[in-house]
This record gives sequence, structure tokens and C-alpha cells, in this order.
Amino acid sequence: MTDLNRWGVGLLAVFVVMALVPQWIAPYGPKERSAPYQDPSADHLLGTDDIGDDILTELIYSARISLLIGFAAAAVATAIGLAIGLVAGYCRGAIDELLMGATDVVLIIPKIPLIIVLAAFLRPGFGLLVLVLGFLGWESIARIVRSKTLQVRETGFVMSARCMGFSPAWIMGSEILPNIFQVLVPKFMLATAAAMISEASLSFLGLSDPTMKSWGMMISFAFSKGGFIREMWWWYLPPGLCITLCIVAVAAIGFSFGGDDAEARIE
Amino acid sequence: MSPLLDIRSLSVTFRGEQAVRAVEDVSFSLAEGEVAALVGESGCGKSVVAHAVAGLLPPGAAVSGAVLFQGRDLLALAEREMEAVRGAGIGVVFQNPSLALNPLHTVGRQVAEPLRVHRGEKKEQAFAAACRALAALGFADAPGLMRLYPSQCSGGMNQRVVTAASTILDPPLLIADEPTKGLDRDRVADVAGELGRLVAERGTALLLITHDIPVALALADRVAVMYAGEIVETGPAREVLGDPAHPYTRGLVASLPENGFVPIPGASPSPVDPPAGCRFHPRCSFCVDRCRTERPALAAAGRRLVRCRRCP
Repeated sequence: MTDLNRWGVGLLAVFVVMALVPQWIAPYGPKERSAPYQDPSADHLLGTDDIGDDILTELIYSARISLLIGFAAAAVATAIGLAIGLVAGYCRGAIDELLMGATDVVLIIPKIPLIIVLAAFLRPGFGLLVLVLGFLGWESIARIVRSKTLQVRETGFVMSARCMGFSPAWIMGSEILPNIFQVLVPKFMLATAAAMISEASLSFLGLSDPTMKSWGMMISFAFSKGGFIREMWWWYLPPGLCITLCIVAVAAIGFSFGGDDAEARIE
Repeated sequence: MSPLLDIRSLSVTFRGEQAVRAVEDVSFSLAEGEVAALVGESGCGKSVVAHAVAGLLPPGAAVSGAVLFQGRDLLALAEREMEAVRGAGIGVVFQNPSLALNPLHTVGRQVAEPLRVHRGEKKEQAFAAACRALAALGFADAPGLMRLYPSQCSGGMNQRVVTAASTILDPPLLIADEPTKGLDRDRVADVAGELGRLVAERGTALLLITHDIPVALALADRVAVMYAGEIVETGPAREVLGDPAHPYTRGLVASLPENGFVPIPGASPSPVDPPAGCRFHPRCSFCVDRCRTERPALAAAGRRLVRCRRCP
């Protein structure tokens, strides 16, 4: 475990705790109100917003949606990318070209504009947002899984598995998949980070479900309800910092898995 | 009775920028329980024959002829039917045992895997059978070995593990592709002994692909010598390798260390553009004009077949 990895895991653990048990940490309940637009004080460490919600409480409760959307969208993207990459790399030939062609097409779609258009028309809730972010984030995973599969399928044990008459599905799942796990984990983490960024941008633009409080949504409210004009930096800065730190933590974990280390272990 | 494996005028060409004629018109058969060896130098096409039998040629290969196994033409089978033949009907032992095992699965799991895939056996049942198979190959602590990973075993142990996995379904035919390549002398003897004992005990037929003539001589009943994609001499192993008739076989035997290490002059011909006439003529000391133009056929000479104008 590298230092980078340790820092990432530690930081992410803080956010995960915030997401899992906000009621233990937050100073107030999510529905408790007091006077609006308060400056930070001993009672309200980060002040209150336009309707009198405690901002620190909001910040802690928002972790849940931000993390959940990030990881769920990454899970969808990883599942699609894994399936496409494995099949393309193992079958090669026409199937490979078809799947990789489709991957290239998805790769050149401008993501954020498309998501904005979709969000504007479909009034997205949690599930739709996860699906859209997931279906638009699998291409790089598919590519790396394919290249790793091409490499692993030529090894002696895949050859010998074919000699034993195992079916392609069995070989992909049982022989190849465990051997490409090393590249999959960092890719999953990076996909999580990307999904969180997209979610934050969408929420900031007011294009996600306004009842789902996330960090991006908090910045959006701070922007539209006078937080910026009143220079209430304790309102809009903390959620921005949380997004940044959370993404750094996730990316740090991802990076520490990848690189030469993983290569060496596969060899 | 029809033979277990009957290869009839098998030709394999790899298409690419230039067509590579890897195997041409090879006919060869193997009876049940018989041990036969395909010998020849690197690139002579002997491994391609093995791969064609096991259905493992890459998609770009053009194959003609027939490979009859238990009366069925393997070349005509769909991939799904071929999967059932592999493992259960034909077992394959590879040259590098440490690479033939998945580094991320335990030995036990890999030996039990064929049983679970082909016969749908439950995990406990398959593991118990795997344990018995490993014990039968001479491992004192088979249950302990089952839990080890290939990297924790020696090369010799892995070799026996691979053999156990390839034979656990009791296939009537075993193909050993260069089982002794890159091993030191003691290990070669181990592996040869192992294979010999296995086929003797179970009555498995063995197709041995090797460039190691002493191993072929020790194990095989019959031998086929290949040169530049075709069989040049075939017959009982002791006769062919003890008293070779074809000039190439003679050169091969004379190049062994114990026979004086005399190399065959020249190099193997290119498979893209093989020489006209007899393919061995540029390197043959008995070459006459006829050899340059006329391709000799396999002709019977006693109990063997030889592809040379000087025989019979």
C-alpha cells in the first residue's frame, strides 16, 4: 500500500461515514430550521442558508447522493465496459471491430451537452441520472479491458483451458476476468470520479432532481439564492471543497492501484 | 477395426501477405492405446498438425483433408461440438507447465475444473476426484497441494498437475506438444517416464509431438518424421530411428550428440516458397537431377513409408 493509497482511503472513509450515518455527525436534523442567512457562529459553524437550514448539516447529508450517484454510475459503466471489452478482446475479428467501432462512436459524443439535453427533456431522478452517466462512461473501460484481454488470451493457461474444452463464456469469466481485475479497479475509481464531476455540474446547472440534495445542488442554491452576492463563502466554498477532496481521494485510490505495480503483478 | 485417430491428407495454409504452407498432405493414423511420435525440427509443421487435431488453429488458417476421431470428422464439427471433444475425448499437455496454469487459481481448483465444466459435478465431489488424481500421480500430500497456487509449486510439480488436469476426464487420446522442450536431462526423463506410465496404465493413446529423438524412441511405437510440412518417413520407431532410410532422417539421427553431432548442411526451406521437386534436395548429399524436378511420393519400403527416389 502506497502513501497515496493510504491518504485516499482515509479521506474517502470520512466521506463514506458522512454518507452512511449523517444523523450521528450532523449538529441538526435535516428538517430543523432557524433564522436565515446567519454568519458562522458557535451554534452554526457554517452559518445558515436562505431558508434557515444549517449549512454544515446540509453538507453532511449531501454526501450520500454525491457518493451514491458516483459509485452507482461507475458500476454501470464498468459492467458495460467489462462485457464489451471481454467479448471484443476474446472473440476478435468482426465482433471486435463492430464493438470497438461502437465504442469509438460513443467516445466522440460530447458528454456534458448531451446530458444537459437529456436532463432538460427527461426530468431526471436518481435512477435515470445513474443510467445516463453510466451509459456514457464505459468506453475507456471497454478499451483497456479489450487490450488486456487480448494479452491474457494468448497465455498458456487460456490455451490450456481451451484445450480442456471450456466454453468461451467460462474462459472469459473464470480464467481471464480474475487476471484483468488489476486494471479494472483503478478504472472503476476513475469512472466514479468522472461521474461525480458530471453529477456536480448537472446539479449546479439545476438540471437534476431538486429534491436530491447533493454538493452540486448546494452550490447551485448558493448561486441562485443569494449566497454569492452576499459573499457567503462559507455557503458555497465547503461543498466545492468536498467535491474536490472526494474526487481526489477516489482518484488517488485508483492511481495507486494502476501503473507498473499492477503490470508487474500480472506478469 | 478403424483407428482411433485417422488424419487423411491434411493440409494447412496460413493466409497472410504471403500464404504459408505449414502442412501439406499429411496422412497418419493412431490406434487405440498406441503411442506415436511426430518428430522433426522447429518449423516443420508438427505442432500445426497437433493444433489441427485439437481444433486450435487460428481463424485465418485454411485447412483441407480430414481428421477422423472415433469415426467423426473433427474438421467438420462446430465449435460447440468441438468443445465437448476437447478435454473429454482429446487431452492436450503443453510444453510449459508453469504457463499452462492460471496463476490466480489454486491447483485443486484447476485440476477439478474439467470435471465441473464437462460433467457438471458439484464442487466437493470434483475436488475429491482431483485429490485422488493427484495422489495417483505420486503426490504424498495431495490435500495440502490442492490449496497451493502454481507459483508455490516447483516446475516438476506443475508438470504433474497439468498432466493430472489434462487426464482427469480419462480421454482416449492424449496429445503432448513438446512436453520436454526446454527441460534439463533429468526432468526430461521424469516427464517421459510419467507419460509412459500414464498411457501404459490407462491404455490411453498418445500423440507425441517432439524434436527430442531419444524421448520419441523411448516412448513411441511408431514414428513419423516431418520435414518442411510433409512426412518424409514413417514406420516402427525402432526401425525408422535405428536404421533411417530417408537422407533427412539419417541426418537427424547423425546430428544427435551421442552419434557425433554431425549437423545437416544448409537451413530449412522457407514454407512460403518451398523448393521444387524433393523438398530436401538442396541439403541432400544424394541429390541427382531427378530430385530437383520430380516430387517423390511416399513409397512402401518394408514396414515403413519413405519419400525418396532411392527407396525402395
